[in-house]
Amino acid sequence: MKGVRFGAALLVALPWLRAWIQACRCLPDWLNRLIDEAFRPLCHHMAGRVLVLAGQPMCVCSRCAGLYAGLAVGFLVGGPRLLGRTYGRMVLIAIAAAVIDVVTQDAGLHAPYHPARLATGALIGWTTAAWMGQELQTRASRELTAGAGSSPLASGS
Amino acid sequence: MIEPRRFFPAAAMGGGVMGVVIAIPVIGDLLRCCFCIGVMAGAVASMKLWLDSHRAENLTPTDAMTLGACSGAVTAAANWVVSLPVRLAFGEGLSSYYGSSTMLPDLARSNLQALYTPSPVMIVMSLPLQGVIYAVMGAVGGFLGLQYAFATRKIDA
Repeated sequence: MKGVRFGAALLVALPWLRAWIQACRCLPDWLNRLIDEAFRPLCHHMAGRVLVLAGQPMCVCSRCAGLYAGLAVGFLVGGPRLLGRTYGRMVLIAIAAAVIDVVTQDAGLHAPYHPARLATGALIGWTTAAWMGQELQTRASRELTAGAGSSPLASGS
Repeated sequence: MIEPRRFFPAAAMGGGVMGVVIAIPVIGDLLRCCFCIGVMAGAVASMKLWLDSHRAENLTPTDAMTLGACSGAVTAAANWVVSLPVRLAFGEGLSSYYGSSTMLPDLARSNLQALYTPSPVMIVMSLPLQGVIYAVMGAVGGFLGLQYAFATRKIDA
């Protein structure tokens, strides 16, 4: 399960890693373009809503970047051990916060504000990934316990 | 042990239909760029199909993630296949058409312009990476779908 979580975290961190790859010039340019192309259909790329890292605009907008960062952190380090119900409420609150920000921003009440966009996206990503990670962890622990219980040593045979 | 194959008729139908829907310009772009909601909706639709055809069975959160991931990968493949000829043959023309269109909202125009500009080689090479990204977002959709929409059919991990 750790491999799956690490793989998923690496994948969703790609928009952030791409800027670093481009800045250090340690990998070929086609890799940057491949990452851009893979994420291209997932986001609108409006100029005022995209962060610029290392002199290059990111391949997703700042809210999506926050969402992916939150997912990556949630998959990698998880979150506090909470009841599923509590995580369920946290995800709904995070979605509500993002919806409020989207509506007020698109209604012209405030300009696109990157910290708020990053934070609302990251909150959704982190709470969801932490909840998923907790469920995966629970399953892995139960399988381990069941495996130990059915082993010859545990049964005393 | 998780067996993704048992989800396949349902995942192929739900994911396939959603892949075609999100390949439709404007509607598909909005569905994709709003937190991948189209991919997640495909995962939920696949889950509904599977649960309806397996009334005696329930799902664990891990099963739901697996079902959602399968559905997401199918969505990516179907979307790629449907949009590939359009993007290769008419990409440049559509990009300039949408770029100068004033009747579309800025969000849709930017998305469409970005979608129809890349190089053919990158479009072809991006499928595997896109498939995995959609699978991760599908897994998120499957997990959230089980928690919120089909909570009565959930069994603990």
